[in-house]
Amino acid sequence: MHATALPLALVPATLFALLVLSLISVPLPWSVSWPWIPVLGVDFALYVDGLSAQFLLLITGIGTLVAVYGAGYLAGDARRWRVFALLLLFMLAMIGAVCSDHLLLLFLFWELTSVLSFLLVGFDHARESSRKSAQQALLITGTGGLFLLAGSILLAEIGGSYSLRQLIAAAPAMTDDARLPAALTLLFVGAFSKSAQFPFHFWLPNAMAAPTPVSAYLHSATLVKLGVYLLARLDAAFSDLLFWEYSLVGIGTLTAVIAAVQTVRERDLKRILAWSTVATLGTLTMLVGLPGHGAALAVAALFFAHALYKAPLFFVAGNLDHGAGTRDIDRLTGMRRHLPWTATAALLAALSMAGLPLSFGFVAKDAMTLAKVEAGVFALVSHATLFVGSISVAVAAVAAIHIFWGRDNVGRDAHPHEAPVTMLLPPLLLVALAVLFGLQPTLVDPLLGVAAQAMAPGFDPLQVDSSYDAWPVAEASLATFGFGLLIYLGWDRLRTLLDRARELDEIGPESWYWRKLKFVPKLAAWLTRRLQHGVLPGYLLTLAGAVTLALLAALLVGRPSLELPSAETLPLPVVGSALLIATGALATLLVRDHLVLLLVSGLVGYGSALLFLFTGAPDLAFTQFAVETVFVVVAATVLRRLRQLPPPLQVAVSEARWRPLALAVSIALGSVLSTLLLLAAAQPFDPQLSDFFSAQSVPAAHGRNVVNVIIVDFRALDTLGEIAVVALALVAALPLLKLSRRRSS
Amino acid sequence: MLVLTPLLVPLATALLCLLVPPGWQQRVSLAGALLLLLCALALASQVVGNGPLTVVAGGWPLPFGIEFAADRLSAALVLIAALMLNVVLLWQVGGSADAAPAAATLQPLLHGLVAGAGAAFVTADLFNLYVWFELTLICALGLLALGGGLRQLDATLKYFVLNVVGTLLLLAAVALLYAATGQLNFRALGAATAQLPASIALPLLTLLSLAFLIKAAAFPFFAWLPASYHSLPAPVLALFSALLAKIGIYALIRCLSDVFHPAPDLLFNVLGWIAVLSMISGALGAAYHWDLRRILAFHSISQIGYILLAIALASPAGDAAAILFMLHHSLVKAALILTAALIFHACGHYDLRRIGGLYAGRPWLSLVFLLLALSLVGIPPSSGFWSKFLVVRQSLVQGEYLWAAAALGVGAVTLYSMLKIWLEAFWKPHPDESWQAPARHRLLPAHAALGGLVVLILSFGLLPESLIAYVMAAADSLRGRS
Amino acid sequence: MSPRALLAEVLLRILHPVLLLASLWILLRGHNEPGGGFVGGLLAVAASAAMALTLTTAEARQRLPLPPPRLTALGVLIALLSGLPGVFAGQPFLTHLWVTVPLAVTELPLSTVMLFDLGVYLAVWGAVGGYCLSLLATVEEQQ
Repeated sequence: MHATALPLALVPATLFALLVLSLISVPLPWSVSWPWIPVLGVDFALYVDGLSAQFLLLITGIGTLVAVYGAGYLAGDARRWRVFALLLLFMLAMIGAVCSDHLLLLFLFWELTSVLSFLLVGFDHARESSRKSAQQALLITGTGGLFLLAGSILLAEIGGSYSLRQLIAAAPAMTDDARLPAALTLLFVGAFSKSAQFPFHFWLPNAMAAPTPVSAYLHSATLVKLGVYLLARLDAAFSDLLFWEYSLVGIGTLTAVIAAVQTVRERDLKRILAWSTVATLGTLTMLVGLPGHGAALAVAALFFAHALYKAPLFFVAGNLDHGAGTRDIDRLTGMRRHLPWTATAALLAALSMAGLPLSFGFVAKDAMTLAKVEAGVFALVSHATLFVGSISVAVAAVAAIHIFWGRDNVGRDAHPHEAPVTMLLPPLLLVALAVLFGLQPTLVDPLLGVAAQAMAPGFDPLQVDSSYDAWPVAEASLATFGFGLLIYLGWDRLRTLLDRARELDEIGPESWYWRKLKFVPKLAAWLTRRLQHGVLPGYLLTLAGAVTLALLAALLVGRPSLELPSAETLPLPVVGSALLIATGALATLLVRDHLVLLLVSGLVGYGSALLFLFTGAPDLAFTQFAVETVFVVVAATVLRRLRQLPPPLQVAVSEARWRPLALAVSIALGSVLSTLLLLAAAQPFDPQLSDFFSAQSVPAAHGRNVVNVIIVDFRALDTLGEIAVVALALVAALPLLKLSRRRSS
Repeated sequence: MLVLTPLLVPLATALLCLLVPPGWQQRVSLAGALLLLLCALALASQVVGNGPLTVVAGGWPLPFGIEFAADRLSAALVLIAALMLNVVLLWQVGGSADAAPAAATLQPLLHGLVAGAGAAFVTADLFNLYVWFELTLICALGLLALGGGLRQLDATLKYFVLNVVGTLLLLAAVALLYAATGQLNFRALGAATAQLPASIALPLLTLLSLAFLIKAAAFPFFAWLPASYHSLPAPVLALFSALLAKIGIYALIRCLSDVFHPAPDLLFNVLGWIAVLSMISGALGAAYHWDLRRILAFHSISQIGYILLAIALASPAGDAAAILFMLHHSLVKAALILTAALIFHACGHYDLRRIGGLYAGRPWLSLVFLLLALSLVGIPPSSGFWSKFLVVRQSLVQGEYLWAAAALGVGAVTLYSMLKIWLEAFWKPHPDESWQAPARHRLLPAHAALGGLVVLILSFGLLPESLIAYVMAAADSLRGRS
Repeated sequence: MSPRALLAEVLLRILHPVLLLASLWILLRGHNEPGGGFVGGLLAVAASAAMALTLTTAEARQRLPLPPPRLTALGVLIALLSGLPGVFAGQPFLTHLWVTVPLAVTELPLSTVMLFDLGVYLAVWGAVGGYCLSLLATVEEQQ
């Protein structure tokens, strides 16, 4: 009955095993490519180097443990199959993302991970807060994805290729292009939104609405690292640019500091861990920005170390939630006796997180300090990282000491219990590895070495070691540790202090996001009510006004010379029809009753039909007649029906305040169209068509009535169309005619 | 002869539907639609194999007779029209899920609409084009008025009045161009217009473009589209959204990029900004509304903006993007409308505030909506992504950074409004706690129609090579390049 | 019924076929003299409308060869089909074919053009006649 989804863990486990075997037997890099969309130059191009390989190991390895853990965590939940399907899909998307050599392919998988993350965050979708968090995560990462797309396109245009490898190779030639800073800025926005960097950092803690296995996997180990991964991937190309260094170091440090401060303000263990993840991501971004081989090694080490300690801590949080029913650190103390195995895992993970000796976290911290020394960072950055590191120590202490070793004040009615074995093995395994690698760092040296090599071509571990100076490292470690312990001891007081500064939230990016989210519907409502107000005369006014302005502008641009024609050549019937049209048009201005108005306006249509008739175009005349009739019939029916409506729904046929404007626009449109007509008519007419029709009517078409021959032969297709219009107009109007008859009877 | 089938087959079917006894109407209608699809496929394969097909009615020499000509652009649009007609008729067979009322005039008007659109796509004569615009207008009007309810009549009136103005402006443009050049055939007209002084040609082409923009529902002329679309039954709405505005866009591409090439640069510049405003106002309109059909209608305006933007780029790659976007939008928007109809069937409402709980109640429908919505937003690998990618890339390549920024920004707003539908209709629990998804009676035809459409859309997204190659060749064959 | 109305009815019963014959004549001569399907169709509509005005719309409707929607559809269909013989003869659509039938004293030229014009005639008669009769029926019911 327990953990029925456990067999699904075989999928990531198999992939992990295959990967390890391949890594042992086949030397890196691997590359493979299939043509996908040759016309666009899009290949399904995969490329695995040390950096990708490190990610692949994390994705499949942590993926396996998450699947095992999730099988226990979600046991009995009817939605577990959906969650597992999404998780496995997500894993494939992550694998695709870190193996892509083609920028568009990377973008494809990148967006897929965002969408899948959205679906997983919204796991508990019956709760509105879950929905809001999911929406926020997708809006921010999805919009960031759009920036990434623009940046990728621009970068590919500058470098002449969408292949990451070719772009990196072509990078030295790209630095002169004025568009490069813009392209990189766009890429930064994409990467920062994904990796929760300032000012997008706030979505990540909110994404903790997802089930704990999902948080551990997506929002700590894999998804959120993707942005940093992209930056690390491009580091080989642009690390020499000052723009690159300053942007990444600046934003990374800022993010880390902000996140560190936010950590202290939380009570929910999961949110504490989330903020500390954001801080780590900031540190990673900063390290990617630093020049030098040491930085590359530090990035690789921190990637690895973070996965080894943060995933177990998330599992711990899940076990507490599962066993004690809460994740509130104020209510969790002395859990050691109730959850002994979880306590062990928490303690060992905390060692690593705090960067204490005998843990892999120590190795990573070591590498970081060296990197900073090598790069010669500003004092400000140095102090900031020290502060962030201290907060990590404090968080580690909270997670291990406060929760498990504090005073046991669990009430008698609460029965905290240890998690099942599926939920214990994964954290224990990871912390065991962390200790193993901490004791024996040479085991992972090759892995970190090849990863660093991918970020810094020509990476040489010896070069890093050669600058080894034990003193700054030890000094920094001690300072961090001591300061961290101070923070831990003053945790509650610090939190009270920060709570008072709540007003600061009002100016932060998260409140900006919520304001914007409310602003969109407001703006939309404002604009839409103005554009789509539902009043037909208003629509007509807009339409006529826009047409008039456009035509006027077109006339003013060219300023054609206008010659007025002489009035002598006009035949009488034509003048008569024109007068009829004009009379009808003018009369519409004077009539109030809707039905009479309709009939009077019909004069215009029928006058036009007459005009066509007199100028030798009966088919056109006829169509005009038919269309006019349908219009009158339909409009009359509609108007009569609408009169029976209650006032709010009734169409306001004219609004008094618009009348002067409507008059002006009508006169302007008429004048502009007349001007156009005079201009067109002033062009020398090419009588080619009419000459041909007259000449060929008898010999070729066997008819002396040229008009009829045009209708039935030369342009018979027009006639076919027009009689189809006439016929279908009847079909269209029939239901309305019947309707009006039923009404009146 | 094949090139005339987009007109003759649906027109003859429409007429036969009126002539045969009522019991035979549906059979005749389905047979005609199927025949049209076969003809459209044959036409497309002929055009791909042997180049553009032309015929002059009555066998008169050019430029005197009326020419019908099908190139890749025409053939693709005819194929989409035929396909959508079949989908809609199949949906209609079931008669449930917001199907149109079974009026005797429904089938003739549907076929008449497709005949007008199909003929508009293949005619090579400006006055003849106007005739087909009229035919679609009349049939659309009849379909809008079909229900006879008050909402329908209000929508009919707005649609008709605003579109008649567009049609009249088109007629004026045709007349003025004829007065200035003495020609109606596309090729002759293009050659003759090139001889006109630029100061005359610009206002004339502006008038022509304005008429098409009204038909295309571009900013600020789009009022007719949201005012009328929401009153339609789903299958008719799907056909409308696949055809009506597309005819205007098609005519715009045909005229600006082909017949009157090279059209004045100024026209394209202004068109670009019209496109940007259409994208923005459409996306915001969608963000504002709560009625599924209104949201989708406003989305159409925003998507039309993208297509116009691609046209405004005035380059072969831009034209290719525009054509691809048209094909994508016709299919995806129609599929979304049909999905909305299934939502309506399950919940009894189109209003997002009154529905919910479909993620649990209708998992397959959720998946279909998700895939379609992601395609509309432009998440890869979907037809929408490739369309949007071509537009954005070409904007960036041509240095139109503001246009590209607008295209991407509007993408974010589109994401917002699609998310809104997802959160409200699928994730939010149904406001009525006792609500149960109803049994699926007589939904098989509807499911088959939508399923077929979705499979097609997905395959365009995953394997877009042949489609993109096709539209690139189609764009290249404009402007007499072939 | 007043004697005047009776006279009108009798006259109309005679006039109606005459009007229809005249409309056919106008249709047929259209290719060479003024006339043709459009005008002929209009005259036929006039005949029906006159019938409806003097008698009843139902009566006028009965005198139509088919109900208006079918009549007009048939007309368009005939016009459409008239373009097909040319296609079968290997010419483009709507290429009209001519044959000359020798009669005793003269020759009678026959052509698909006439079919096309007949289609126009029927389409106009059916459609415009349909509108008129429906409108008149509305007025009739209101009285």
